[in-house]
This record gives sequence, structure tokens and C-alpha cells, in this order.
Amino acid sequence: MVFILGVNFPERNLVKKALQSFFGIGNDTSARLLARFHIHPTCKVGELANKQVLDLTAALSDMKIENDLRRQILEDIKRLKETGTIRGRRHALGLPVRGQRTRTQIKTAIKLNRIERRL
Amino acid sequence: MVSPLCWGCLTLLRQAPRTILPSPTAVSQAAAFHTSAAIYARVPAPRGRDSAVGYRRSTSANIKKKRKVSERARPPPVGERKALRKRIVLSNPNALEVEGMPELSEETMVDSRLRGTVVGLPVPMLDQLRAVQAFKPKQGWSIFRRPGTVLRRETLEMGRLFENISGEGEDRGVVIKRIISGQRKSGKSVHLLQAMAMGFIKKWVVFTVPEAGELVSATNSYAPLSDENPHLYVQNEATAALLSRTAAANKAVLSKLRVSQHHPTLSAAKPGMTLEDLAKIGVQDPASAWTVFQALWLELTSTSAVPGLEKNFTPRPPILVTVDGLAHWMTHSKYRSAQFEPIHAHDLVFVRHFLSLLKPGQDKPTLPNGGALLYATSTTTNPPSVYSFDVALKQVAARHAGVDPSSPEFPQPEAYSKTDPRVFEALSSPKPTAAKEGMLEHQVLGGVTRDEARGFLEYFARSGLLRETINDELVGEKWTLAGGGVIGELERLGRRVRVAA
Amino acid sequence: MPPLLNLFAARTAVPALRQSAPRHCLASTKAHRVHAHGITGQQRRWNSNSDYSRPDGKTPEEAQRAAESMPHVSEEAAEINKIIDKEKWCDGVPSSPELEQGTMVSEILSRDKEAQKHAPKVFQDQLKKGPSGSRSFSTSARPGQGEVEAQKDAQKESSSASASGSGSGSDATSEDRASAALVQSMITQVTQEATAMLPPGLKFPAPESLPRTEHYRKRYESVVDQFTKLMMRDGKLSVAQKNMSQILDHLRSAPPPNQNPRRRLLPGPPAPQLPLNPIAYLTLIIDSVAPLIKLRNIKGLAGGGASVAVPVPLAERQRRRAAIRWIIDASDRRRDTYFATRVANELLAVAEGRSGVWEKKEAVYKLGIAGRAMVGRKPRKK
Repeated sequence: MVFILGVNFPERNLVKKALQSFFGIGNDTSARLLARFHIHPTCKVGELANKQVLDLTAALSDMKIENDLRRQILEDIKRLKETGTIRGRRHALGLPVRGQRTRTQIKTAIKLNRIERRL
Repeated sequence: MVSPLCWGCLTLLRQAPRTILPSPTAVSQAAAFHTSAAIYARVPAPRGRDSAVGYRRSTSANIKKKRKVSERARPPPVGERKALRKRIVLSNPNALEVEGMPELSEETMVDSRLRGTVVGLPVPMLDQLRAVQAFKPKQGWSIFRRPGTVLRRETLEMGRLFENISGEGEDRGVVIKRIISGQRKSGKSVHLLQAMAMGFIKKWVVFTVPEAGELVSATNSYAPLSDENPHLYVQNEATAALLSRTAAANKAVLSKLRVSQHHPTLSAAKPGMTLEDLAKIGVQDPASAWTVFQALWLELTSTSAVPGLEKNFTPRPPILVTVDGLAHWMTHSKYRSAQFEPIHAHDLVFVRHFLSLLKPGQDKPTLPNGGALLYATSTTTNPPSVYSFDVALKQVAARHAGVDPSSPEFPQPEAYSKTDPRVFEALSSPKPTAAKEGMLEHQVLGGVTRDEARGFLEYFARSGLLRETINDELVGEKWTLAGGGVIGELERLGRRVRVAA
Repeated sequence: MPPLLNLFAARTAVPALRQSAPRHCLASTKAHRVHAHGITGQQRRWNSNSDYSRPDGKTPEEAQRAAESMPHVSEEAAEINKIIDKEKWCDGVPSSPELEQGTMVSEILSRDKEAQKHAPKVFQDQLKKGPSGSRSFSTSARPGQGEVEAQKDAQKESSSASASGSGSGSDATSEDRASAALVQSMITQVTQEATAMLPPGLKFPAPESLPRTEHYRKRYESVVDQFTKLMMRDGKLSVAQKNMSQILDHLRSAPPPNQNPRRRLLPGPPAPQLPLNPIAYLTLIIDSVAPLIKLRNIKGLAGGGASVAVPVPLAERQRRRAAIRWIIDASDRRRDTYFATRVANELLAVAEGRSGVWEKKEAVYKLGIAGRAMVGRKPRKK
């Protein structure tokens, strides 16, 4: 078990997948992170050297991920609404924000779009 | 008419309904955007059972479908599938023993009378061949009693070269450099296997890279070589694996040779220790694997000892280097630099070292004690198709044939085609200055001749796999069906059972 | 028209013949003439229909005698008509085949001794070398050319032999005798081939029975084919074929089965020999557990609505299908990693009598015996 940014990962997991388990890190970001510390993409968590784990943790703590990122997204939506923009209004109404049609196929928007958006 | 009520009273009046209407905060914050007052909106009816169905859900009877019960709940243990996939079976106890089958030995490997016969690989050597991963899982060794290979023309020719390099004649210590290519299933990997077997017979030191693709597919760890060379990358685990292969397969040879050079970068290398122990340092500590490999290479390519260590020195044997799947090394690897740029395969020191051997040495041959470099373009591991490499191979052949690189006959890449100058640079080896060093050649393996095909099919028949009389007609038929004697196809036809009407 | 061909052989071989029988040229057409001149040593090719020239199996002497006889009257008349007509039509057109096609200079030289002396050196050399010059008239091969060649050689041989007998030529050396033997052997070979009577268009004798699997649509044995297609999922035939070859290899390398005395395989080769012929092994296993009957539930046979299981006989392919389905279904319960290994192990289990497939077969037979009284009865109409 290896701790990365305070989260415990089993040794057999891929490092790439472990990184992607953080909110705000996807395929590309994780690939770039790995390249930065010369970790090959098929590396398992158990194979990481101590220094690499520390490096990764340090790099992750500098990034805006997890709750910081969630808070920022919610603030952005709120700001849109408060400045009275169309996008803010659509968020509040639970309708698609980016000009999609609304006659059909807006289930995702109904489910997700609101002021206090669930992330 | 003037209303008896003043404006102030009216405002008072308007305050009144607020108490009975729902409070605006209860409706929605979003009400501010509506054009119609939210307070007049119809109060939603209390939801009954029917309306509990979600938006646009089907209201028909929703019978839960039976889920398929998976009987095989537990997957096989970790690593088992890969082990099965990579398993190499070298013997089939049901197949008949071929009587009078000659063994590969010093005499048979140069005996041209045996051309076209299948010779068995000596049983004690099988462990060595397994150690260098000479056998591939899909080569069909598993249907015969014991592994054997057919002596084709190219094999005997190679045997003669090996004989000369090891012998006492004027060709002693010559270096041959070859890139072996050929169509699918034409026996390139088995050709390398034969070379390794001959190397073991002649007591050479054999270095092999059985899967060149594994070095560039980003499945091994990598790290920058040093702070001075941030653009070169070292693969410690792959190097350690190479050392362990070499140490295991060449145990008999390496345990008799002793360290006779100074290795300032490697403190663990004591003068007088055997080279086998030296290699094992790198196996045990992968972090130092590359340094150990360099030290080992320096030892094996030395022609004399440094002053003070003469008593440890014994003449070094020739070296055989085989690489299977050269095309993988001619393009970008899957590794990424810290700036997320793809790393070229030639920037990996492992690859760079083995490619640099193709070039002629500076003042002495690249292998001063003689030996052979056989690099094959394998087709089993789905190699990339690199245009520059194809053209470079043609250039190698032309240069070997004596075509002047400035002449119009010299093959050039097509104009406006995307080429990789590093590939051309790596394969453009001019005529070597040292007399004992051969020029880089391009050998194309084609089909076997009909006589060789006949010997091969007879081997099938004598193993009890092919139940037909081997006559010219049958051999001609199979030879033609196999695309002109492509040996892998012949093998497939040989094991196919033909059923009479 | 075999006589014609032999005629040319005679003419080209013996210059004397050519001059003594000029009127035979009338019977020749242009194509044949070219043919006769075009034959050289380099061009010999044994073509597939070697009995083209002599289907009746005549010896060369007989054939030559036949060739020297006159062509049919009507044929000759037609030829003459043609030549004369041509002359009538237009003035410039040459009227004889010789003029029409031009005369070979070498031919003139061979007749005229005086001209030979003044001929260019090239021609002299050629004449010394003999008629078998290396220059080829055409590179295409013609049917029956080999025989023509052989006869030509024979003629030359005989003429040279007679020349040496009269003492005029002293160049009949041992080489000639060696070539005579060669020619003799060729002739015997040709006559043998003619007697073997190959059907037209065949180079080698036809095989007695072409294996059925040599037809590319039926290149797999029918059991193998059926098994492969029953293993196929989602129309992926090549995957199924790969699995099939793995199964056959597994059967090939697995130890021979210890047969259960209660559940024996059908009589076949002894068990230790089975792995050497995996297809026969597979067929034997499948046929051993293939049921002879299947049960069909028919309503209303026994009165009321109850259905009764009635045995129905199966054809061979149907029987195998049932067995293969059972084997594949039973293999799903195995724990091996790969599908091919599972099926192969199940097949081996069947061979050793440990598989559940045998019980399935026995259960079907038991029910079939129970329901056999109902065979052939029709359900009552309501």
C-alpha cells in the first residue's frame, strides 16, 4: 500500500489509474505527470521509488484538484448566475447551457444542471 | 371620481395577500428570471403512485430480466494467462522418434552433404537456448519429439563463417554484420536461433535481444542517463534482464574469464573476479546495470590486459549479438520526455549501443576478437512500417554491392516523403578501415529449395505427422502452395492432415 | 492430322527428302512450314499431351511411311486452286509457296556446292555446324514438338550412319554413337508414353483418387468443419478456426487415453496411435458419444393434453451435431483459462469415459426406450 497525496493505493494498481482517481486528473494530465517524473505508463504503484512517490505528491499538492477544483466550478456557476448571463440562467433552470436543442434529449442537463451542482 | 382611499392605503392593501400566498423564497430563487409571476404558477398536485415514474420512463410493466448467472466467477490467478501465452513446449511424447537424426555439432554445421536434413538441437544446449529466449511460442516446436531445425543453404553458409571466425585460418577474428530480412514466416527468427546454437557450440559469448519491441513499448522503467546527458535515457531493468540472460546462457564461458581492466565507475568490480560474477552484480542491483554492462562489454572487447593485471587475462572469445525485430528501433519510442515529447528510440542508450555496433570501429574493429552481428526484422511482433528504414535497407544493399552513394543508381527516398534522418544516419556505415571488419550487409531470406523442402517434409513424415509418401509430386505441390518454399508455410502444410475421400 | 507433322519431321531432317518430294509442299500451309523450320535443339519442351502425334501408337517408321503418301485428292486440288487463283487475281503476288515466303538462303546454299564456297563466313560456319543451329525461329512451344524433334534426330542419325557407311564422311565418331543411344532411349520413352495413353491435357498420370480435402471449399474434414462452425460465436470463423487448430494440437500432444471398459470408444486404431492422427481421434470421440435418436415431445398421443417423448432417428450429421453441442456445453463448466483448452480437455475426458456427456447420451437412450411404443402413432384429432 502506497500513499499518494494522503490516499492509500494497493500496490498492484497502475500509477496512471491511481492518478486518474483524483478529481480533476484525466488521461492527458496523468500522462504528462508520469512523463515529468520519468515513470513509464505501465508502471504499477508498487514499483515506484520513494522519491517518485514524493515527487508525485508534491506535484499533486500544487495542482488545483479535488475539493479546490469542485469549489471553483461551483463558484464559477454562481458567478455566471449572479452576473445575469444566459449561461447562468440556463444552469439555474436545469436546461442545456451550450445551445443544444431542448425539444428532446436533455436528460443530462435536467439531472445535473443546477446552481448547487453535484460534482 | 377621486377614490376615498389614498395611495398610502393602497400600498397597505397590497401587503395583505402576502400572508396567504407562499413566501417568495419558498418558490425559487430562479423566479427572478421568469416573465410570469411564479406565485401564480399552479401548485403541483401531490404525486400519486403513477407519477412516481420518472421523466419519459416507460410505464409498461417492468419485469426484471433474469440476470445471467456467471458460472465462472473467479478469473484465473494473476500472471497465469501470460505464463500460458508465453509457455514454450519443446517436446511431444506422442510424436515418433526420428531415427538417425543427426545432431547439430561442429561437424554437422558445416557439412554441406547434410543440406536439407533436419538436425536436432543438442539436449544440453536447450537450457542455454531457453535462457536467451531463442524459442518463440508460435514456432511449432511442440509437435515434434525433440526440437530440430533444417539445414538450409543460408545456415550452412553461416556455419562456415562461424567456423572460419573461430578457426586458425586467415579469417580468424573477422566481424560479420548482417541485417536479415525476408517475408513473413521465412525463418528469420529461426535463423537467429541457429546462429545462437552455433555460437554456443563454438563457445562464443552470446548476447541476445529477443524482443526489440519491448525496449521501446514503454513497458520498462526508464530514467535520464545522467545530468550531463539529459537527452539520453537508460533502461535499467531491461539491461539487468539482458545481463541475466547473458550470464545464465554463457555461464561456462564467462566463469573462465576474469576482470582485467580498470573500471573507475564501478567500485564493485574487483580485479580477478570472473565476468559471470561481474554480470551478476548488475542483475542483483538494477540501478547499476548499465554501468555493469559497459564494464562487461569493455572486458569482452579487450585484446590485452592493462598493466598490472596480466595474470588475470585470457584471450576473449568472439561475440555473437542477435537482435530480433529491428524495425521497432527505427522510429519514436512510446516513452515521453519530461517535456512530454516522444523519445526517439535512438536516444535510449541500450538501443544506441547495439546500433552503434553496425558502424565501423574507429581504429580497431567493433568486435576486436571477432564475432557476428545478426539483426533480424521480425514480423511476429507487429513491427511498425518505417519508410525510412525500408529505403535505408536498400541503401545498405547498394553500398555493399559497391554502388557509389553519390551515383544516380543509389536508392534515395522519394521526394517530399517524410523521412527520418536518424535512421539513415544509423544504417549508413561506410566501408570499414580495419581489415578484419566486414561491411554491413543486407541478407534476404527467401523460400527454401525443393530439395530442402523435401528433407523438411520427410522429417514430418518420419515424425508420424504427415501420413503420405514423400515424392516429387507431393514436394512440388507443397513447395508451390507454400509460396515458393516459405518454410513457415511449409510447416503449416506439413501438419495439416489430408483425408482421403 | 498426325501424318502432316511427321511429314515435316522427315523433311527437315533429311535434306534429300526435301528435294525429292517438292510437291508435298503443296499440301503444306504457311504455319506448318514455319513450324518445321522453327524446331531447334534449345526449344524442346515435353508438353502435356505427348501422344498428340501418334494416338494409334505407330512406330516412327510406320509413321514416316504414312507421311510420304500423298495427301487427299481434294486437299491437293484445293491447294492448287488457291495458288492458281492467286496468280490470276493480281500480277505482283507470288504464285508458289516458295516465292510467297521467300527461300531460306541456307537452303539454296545447301543445294549449290559452288555457292557454298563463296558464301559469307557466317553461313559457312553454320553449314559446318549442321542443321541444328542455335537460332530459334520462335520461342513459343507447340504441341508434339518433342516427338518431332526426336524423329528428326533419328533421321539425322540414320542418314549420317549411311554416309559413314559409304565412306564419304569420316566424321562418324563415338559421339555419334552415344547420341544414337540417347535418341534410341528417347524414342522408346516416347513410344512408352504413347502406349501409356495419358488423357489429353495431362502432364502426369492422374491420381487414382484425389483426396476430397484437396478441394479448397472442402479442405477441412467434414467433422472438423462441423465442429469449427459449432464453436463459432458472433460469426467469427477465423477465431473458431484458430481454436480448432489449438484443439487438434492439444489432442496431438496429450497422452493417449486410458479407456474406461464401461464406456469404450468405437472400434478404431489402438489408443497409443490415436494422437498421431488427431482428426481420426476427434472423429472417433464424437462418433462414440453421438446419440442415434433424439426425443420429440408430441402432444396428445397418450390421450389428454399430456405430451409424450417419442424417439426420432437422426442422420449422421445430426448425430454429430448433438454430440458436439453436448461436448461444448460440458466444457463450459471447466476451469481452464482458454476456451480451446477447455474443449480439448473435455474431449479427452470423453475419450477416457469421465465426461458427463456419456450420461447425457444414456439418459436420452433410456427415455427413448421408454417411449418407443409410441413410435409411428399419429396424434388423435380433436
